[in-house]
Parts: sequence; structure tokens; C-alpha cells
Amino acid sequence: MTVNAPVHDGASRLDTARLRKDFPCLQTDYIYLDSVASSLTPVSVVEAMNAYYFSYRANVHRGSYDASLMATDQYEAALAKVAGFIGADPEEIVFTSNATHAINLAALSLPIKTGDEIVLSTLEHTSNMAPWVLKALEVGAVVRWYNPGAEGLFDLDEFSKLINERTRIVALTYVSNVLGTVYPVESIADICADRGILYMVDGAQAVPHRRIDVHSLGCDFLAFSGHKMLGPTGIGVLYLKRQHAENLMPGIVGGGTINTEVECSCPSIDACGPNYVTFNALPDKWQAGTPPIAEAIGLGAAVDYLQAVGIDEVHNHTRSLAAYVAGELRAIPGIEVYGPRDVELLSSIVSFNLADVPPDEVGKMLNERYHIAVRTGAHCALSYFMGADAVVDVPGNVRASFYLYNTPEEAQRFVSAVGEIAAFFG
Amino acid sequence: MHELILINARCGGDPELGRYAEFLRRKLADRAQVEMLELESCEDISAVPSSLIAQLMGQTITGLPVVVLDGKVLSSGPLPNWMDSFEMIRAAIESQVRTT
Repeated sequence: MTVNAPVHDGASRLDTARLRKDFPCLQTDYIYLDSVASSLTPVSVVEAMNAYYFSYRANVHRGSYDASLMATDQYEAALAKVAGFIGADPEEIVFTSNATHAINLAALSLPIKTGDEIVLSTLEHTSNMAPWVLKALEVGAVVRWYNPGAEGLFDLDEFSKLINERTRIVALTYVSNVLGTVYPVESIADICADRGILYMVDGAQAVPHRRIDVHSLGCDFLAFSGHKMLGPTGIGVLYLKRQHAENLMPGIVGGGTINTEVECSCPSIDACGPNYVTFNALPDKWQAGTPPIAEAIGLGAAVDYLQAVGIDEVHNHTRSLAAYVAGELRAIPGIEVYGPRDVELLSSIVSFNLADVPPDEVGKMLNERYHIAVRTGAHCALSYFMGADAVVDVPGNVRASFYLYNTPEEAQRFVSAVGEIAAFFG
Repeated sequence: MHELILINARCGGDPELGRYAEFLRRKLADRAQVEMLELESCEDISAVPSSLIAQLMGQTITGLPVVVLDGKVLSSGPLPNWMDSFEMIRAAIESQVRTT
């Protein structure tokens, strides 16, 4: 039985032509430019999960039989790989169902009080906005909004003006899912650390594309999803700095989080409460219920794959494609490209609109006429696109995103297709 | 000059059809007069002139929007993308030109 499915031959450096063979979905003429919504999955990830389902399907922990012991070993190995991928200790991460769930878990777990302030930016994905707004409403806290402008260019001085002695947490994205703009996370972390403010990073668009070391970065929390980094759907990760993992009360509790081998000192069942709880050791303290075992093993295989290719190679490749496409699109009459011109501030995303043509129509044309998959609309960035304080006066845009399996030829075909569409409407 | 009418409804039509009509007016400026009729509801056809209703009688209409070229239903129901639907309309116009 192969438990750790080997990374396929194609992943031995960023040889796009070879590694594309590892992705069955790419064996068509279709061009997939929606990886920041959800990436494709290589065979090795599916095989790793199949091995679990077909060969040692059992629950983890506390099992005394072979399949459970094997499942536990593989799960723990995956946990260590995923933690290592972001420079964390295994005790500092918890698996969730996705990044949204991870951010909600952080929000549920933080003791934010009436009058505390939470700083968000107007470029946040709804998943890093709604949990904090809800939390603020529940406890009477105040949300302060930092507006980085239409291109998402972060001004540290302007941001600092929002910080005061009441600021409890700053929750910001690392890479904008709308524009691909990269926030200066290290500098933000320094500002927060100097003032004793907690810093939550939404890493959903960063972890799949960039080398991250949470200890060097200095954030308190970081959330990301498995399905955007070659892994399966149904799994996300919350990193909690060890001191928070140790000291905070988990916002979601249940089986697995509480140590049932320690004698309960409750005087009666009516007095049952947190004061009498003994939590399990980290990270189980935070892992409520049966964890996503197959998904964790699959995500571990995805980490293997990305590390075999080289995350720096992935970053350089995808940013290079995005920079090329952004430059070419800017030269097409009628096209407005959003996001930074400075390549250093760019990730793998290119967002644009074609004058007078709804973004959804552009997406339909790309799909139906050119067999190119892009995402259109507001990309869950409500505070950027919608409402009285919207940053931009368009309801959405067209977003193309690139990953390790996209080729320069695909980027050229995409540019050519957009050029034809723009010429048609010009 | 051809007469192209787009019939839409707030209840179940294409919310972007107005912008598409604008595009068609620009693109077909010298070949067709483009009009858009927006029904307030799917039951209320008062926005449709009786002369047009008379023309549409007996023709098959399966959904909204309805595209009518010179009194004949060209399509009904969701349109393909703007490029493909424009080509459909242009082909119909050219077909009529050739036969007249």
C-alpha cells in the first residue's frame, strides 16, 4: 500500500508542460484562469485521499487497531507538513472546513469587549469582514475601515491613523482576491506588535503562492484554504500563535478538545462550565469533532507537490504571467485594468473591465467563444464594490488568475481573446 | 431600415438587456431601428403595442427576452453571449436583405 503517494514526475521544478500531465482537468483545450477561486487538483492528492478511503479508513486518535493507528500516523504527518509549510509548529494549527471557518473560529475565540476597536480594510473578502462586523455588533465593539483606494495600495501612515489605545485587533488580507495587490504584512505586523494589537492575516490568496513563515512574519493568526493550493475542498487552516493557542478559550468546542481522561472536578452537573474543563494538549484543544482526515491527508500531499515544484518558483511563474497579461491588457483600447502597476505589489491576479460591457457578459464570451474560464462579479468583496461607501463605482469586474500549471501560451491566448472582444465592442 | 424590438420584463428577463440594446443601436445604427420594451411584470403586456401583439400572434414564444425582427420572432428565452447573439441578429438581417 502506498500511503504517501509520490509526487508525480512532472513536479520536479516548474516545467509546466510536464506538470500539466498531473492534472486530469487540463487534458482538454480549455484554459483555466480561475485558480484563486479554486485551484485544480493533481493526481497525487486524489491518490493520497483514495489510499485513506480504500486502505485504512478509520477515525484518528484513541483507536487501538491497525487502520486507526495508520490513519492517525498519516493525519499527524499531514498536520506537521501543513504547519511546516507556513513555518508554524504543529501545535499552532487547527484544521477547519475552509478559510472562512478559520476566521470565524478566531473571531469567536477572541475576548473582544464593548468599546474595543477592530480595524479592517475595504478590500477584504467578505469572509474576513462579516465575522468581525458580526462580532462587533454582538459585543458593542467598533469597526474602523482602512481604505487603500481602488488599486489597494497600502499606505502605512494612513493606516496608522486608525490605530489607537482601543484597537484590539487588525484583520487584513495578505493578497487581495480582487486585485492581487500585496499588503505590506511585515510592516503591519510591526505596527501591531509595537502597540500590543492582535494581527489576523487572511492568507487565502497568499499561502498558495508565496513563501510564508508565520514566526518571522509575526502575525497572531493566519487563515487559509486547502482548495486554493492544489488540495481538496472542505479543509482550511487557522494558525494561532502558540501563546494564543494556549491561553484562549476555543470559540468552538466539543469532542476532541476536552480531555476526558482527567477526572472532572465539577461539584454537580448543573455547575458544569469552562472553569472545570481540562483541554487536550495542543493542537487537539482547538480541533473540535472528528477532523477532516482525508482532506488533511490530501492537503499534506498538496504541500508535498508545491514543495517539490518550489513555492518560490510558483510565485515567480504566476506573478510573471499576471504581469504580462496586465501589461498587454492595459494596451487594449476600452480595457481598464485594476490593481498595481508595480510588479512587486502584484500577485497572480489580473482584474479588468471592458467599457460598457457587463463583466458577466465578458465572462460568458470568454467561456462560450474562447473556452477560457474566468470569474466575474464582485468576488465577495462587498465593501470594495457595493454600498454607499464603495471604493469603486462599478459593480464588479472580470478576474483572471494564474497558477503553476498555466502557460505563457495560455496567457497569450487570453490576451488575444480579450483583444478580439474589445475590438468587437470598440 | 429594419425594425428590431427587444421585449424584456423585470420579473424574469435579462437585467443587462438595456445595455445590450444600447450596444445594438450603436452597432446597427445604419441598418436597424432598435427598440426595447420593458414589461413591468410577466402578466402585464400593456407596454407592447397592439400592432406588435397582432404580429406576434401565432408565433412561438418560450421565454424572455424576446427578439423580434421586422415582426418575426428571432429568438425567445435567454440570449447567448452578446457577440453570438449579435451575429445571430446580423445574419437574420442579411438573410432578409438577400431575399428582398
